[in-house]
Amino acid sequence: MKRVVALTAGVALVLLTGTGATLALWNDTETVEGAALTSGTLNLTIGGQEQVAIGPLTGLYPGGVVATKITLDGQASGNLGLNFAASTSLVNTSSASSTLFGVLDAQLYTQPTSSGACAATGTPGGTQLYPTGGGFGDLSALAASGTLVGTASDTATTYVCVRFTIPSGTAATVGGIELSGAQTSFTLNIAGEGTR
Amino acid sequence: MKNITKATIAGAAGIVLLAGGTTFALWSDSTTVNGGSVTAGTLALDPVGTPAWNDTSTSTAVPIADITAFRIVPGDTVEYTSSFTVNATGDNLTADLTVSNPVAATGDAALIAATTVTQTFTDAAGDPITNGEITSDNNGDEINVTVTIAFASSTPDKVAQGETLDLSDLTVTLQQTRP
Repeated sequence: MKRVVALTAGVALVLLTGTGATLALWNDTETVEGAALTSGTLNLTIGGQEQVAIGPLTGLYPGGVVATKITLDGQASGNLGLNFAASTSLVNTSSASSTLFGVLDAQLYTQPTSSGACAATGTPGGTQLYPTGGGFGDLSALAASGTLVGTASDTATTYVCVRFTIPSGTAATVGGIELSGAQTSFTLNIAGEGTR
Repeated sequence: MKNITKATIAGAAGIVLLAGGTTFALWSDSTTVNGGSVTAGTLALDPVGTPAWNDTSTSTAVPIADITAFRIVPGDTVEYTSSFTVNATGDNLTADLTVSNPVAATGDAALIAATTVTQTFTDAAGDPITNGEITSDNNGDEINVTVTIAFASSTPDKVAQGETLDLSDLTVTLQQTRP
């Protein structure tokens, strides 16, 4: 038993000596001061908000036009740019709402300044994105996209003029739904996407 | 019987002493061999120039003047480069070159998960130094340490925005090894 203890002590001593010898070899270390690397941001708001109400828009009749303007604020850091894409979706799916939604036409313009014309009469200022061929197109099929923030910029603001109409000559009753006094509820979605 | 034994021991002691005294008096000579000097080798890293950050997201590297003002976004790749001269002399000297992981675990978890950090060593010609192995043959060589931080372009939605990646002190170590 004593012999076993003595052998164990001998082995332990050798191991400790070996470890000490490794640490004693030469080494040189250079230190580079640390840094903080911060990630950028990508953000799209309408007038500073995630969601805004642009209605109710009232008094629409066949041949009549209502107009509204929203402000798109974009932020895209560093090497990112920001593109936006607009679309519509029906919220109130009742027969009257969906029928009126299907009847309505729309057009969408982007304007570089807040002073661009956007009224029920006349032609809006800026660039028409929907429909691309001019005039009005189906509200339910609205699809428009553009660049809000270029890759060389960090922030940008664009003004969007949207106008709605019931086409002239639309029958008073469509699909058994009387349009007079009807209401529809829908959302205009504007999605932002980072680009390089 | 006892008396005889004592007398014998005393006699032997007397003979030894006498012989010792006789040895000191004999001729002697000595000469000196010049052993020269033994010089220790060296092992050190000497910084060269100023470390630099570059935006390598595109095929053309763009210098980053202030890394704290840079905003990294998905799809970006940034590179940190630093150069050192190897001072390694010694017939049997071998050493390993290592660089610490610069990403501190205290950074934002989402940003750490979305970034990939790699470290490489290259020589002056741009060729990789395999496993960071250094010998006295590399004495005077300039080596480049490159730390690459890539932000995955697949990062979705608004994940890891406005967060900070803490790059702790980066250490480059040349450690002697024995076979």
